[in-house]
Amino acid sequence: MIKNSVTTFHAARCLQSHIIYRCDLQRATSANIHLGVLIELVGGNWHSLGVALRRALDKSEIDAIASTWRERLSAPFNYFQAEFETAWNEAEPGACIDWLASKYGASLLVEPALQVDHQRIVPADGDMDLEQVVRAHVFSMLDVEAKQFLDLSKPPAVVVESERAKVA
Amino acid sequence: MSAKQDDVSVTPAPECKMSGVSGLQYFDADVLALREIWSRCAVANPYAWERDGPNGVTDSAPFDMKDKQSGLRGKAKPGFVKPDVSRAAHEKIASDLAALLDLPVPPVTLFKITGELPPDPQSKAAGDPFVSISAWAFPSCDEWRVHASVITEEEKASAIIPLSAVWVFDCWISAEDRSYTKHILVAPSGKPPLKIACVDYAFSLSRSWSSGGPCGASNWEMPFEVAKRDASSVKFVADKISGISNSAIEEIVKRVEPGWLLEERRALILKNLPERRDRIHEIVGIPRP
Repeated sequence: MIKNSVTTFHAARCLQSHIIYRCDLQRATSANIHLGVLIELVGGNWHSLGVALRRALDKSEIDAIASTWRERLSAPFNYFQAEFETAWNEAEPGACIDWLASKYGASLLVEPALQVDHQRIVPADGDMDLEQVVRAHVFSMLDVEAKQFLDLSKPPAVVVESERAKVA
Repeated sequence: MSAKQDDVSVTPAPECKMSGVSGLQYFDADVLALREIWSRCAVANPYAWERDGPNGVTDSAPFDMKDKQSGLRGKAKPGFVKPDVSRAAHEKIASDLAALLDLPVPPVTLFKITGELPPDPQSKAAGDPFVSISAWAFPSCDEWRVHASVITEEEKASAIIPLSAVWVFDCWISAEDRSYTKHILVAPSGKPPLKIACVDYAFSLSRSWSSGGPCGASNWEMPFEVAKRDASSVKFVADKISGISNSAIEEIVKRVEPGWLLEERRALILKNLPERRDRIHEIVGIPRP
């Protein structure tokens, strides 16, 4: 663990995305089921990827899903966790969300990464190291986005990966 | 942003002399009805297409479009001006030619977006008003690789005939970047036949022919189960392609207006499609009838 005296941390790129199941691709008026949110952050020497996913769907939602997907998406976290880990391992820093979006662009949609405003991160605790600062910030962003996008009658499952970036 | 297309006349397509062949496509009746309309004109109307969110990460920067009146949803490209390839025109021409052969290629219409265009959210490049819109073939479908673990052996076997047919078509139009994992949408049900839709023909036709790339048989990366192509399907489609008239080809290519297709590329397409049609048996390696 590398310790730094961090006062502020500037994220060079902060990306976000949503994971959606579209119940009828052919009809824009059909229902969308919001499954999760993704946040990817690259800055300094750090790269972090986080996802908040619903653990289960309601019966009415499951009934609206095509039979092909019903079993796999009845527990979105169980299905998507492996994909999340593969993206983390396979894609370059800053390209994990788009790695997923390039694969999921039809019924199951991962929106292409949208760059959000430049983030200036101020650690709550001046004694935090860089990794803690980044992870805490990703958790915070996931929390904000999940509250806006997901049905949070049950808390989502959250995973955050973080590492020293392979890029400078 | 929305726009209504009401100033482009519908030009009837040449009469299709080929009867539909059971087993080459399994589109639902409403998609076939849409194909019947869209494949007979360059710009289908009336539609009030409205831009929706980005969809997919490719160099075409595709995005969703929805029709405010009917609720129909389609996938549009390109998302920004990329003059290197006539993506929209290629998608349209490929779809219309495939319709003549009753192949599993979704219907495509052209559309000119009016009003201010947003730049591509990723590249920031300026938007292109001249787009193609591809209909979704099935209410629920995804790339082959997404469903690979649930497609049954029987479903895979059922795909051999239609994919063999599409391979011949792809050879004709020099669709060179085909990967079954990405360019075949599937809607598996657990029982054959497997519903498939072949998509993304941006890199075909004049793109292949102007780049000096290989223009022989199309270099498909096929599912291993389909690698042994069905000989009767290959012959059937090769024979059908060889029977498509010059006038049918010209009608489809010439009705695409210059905003979507540069004249030198149109000339290349008009030259190569008949030439390759006449050599299609040789290109796919079977005797001429």
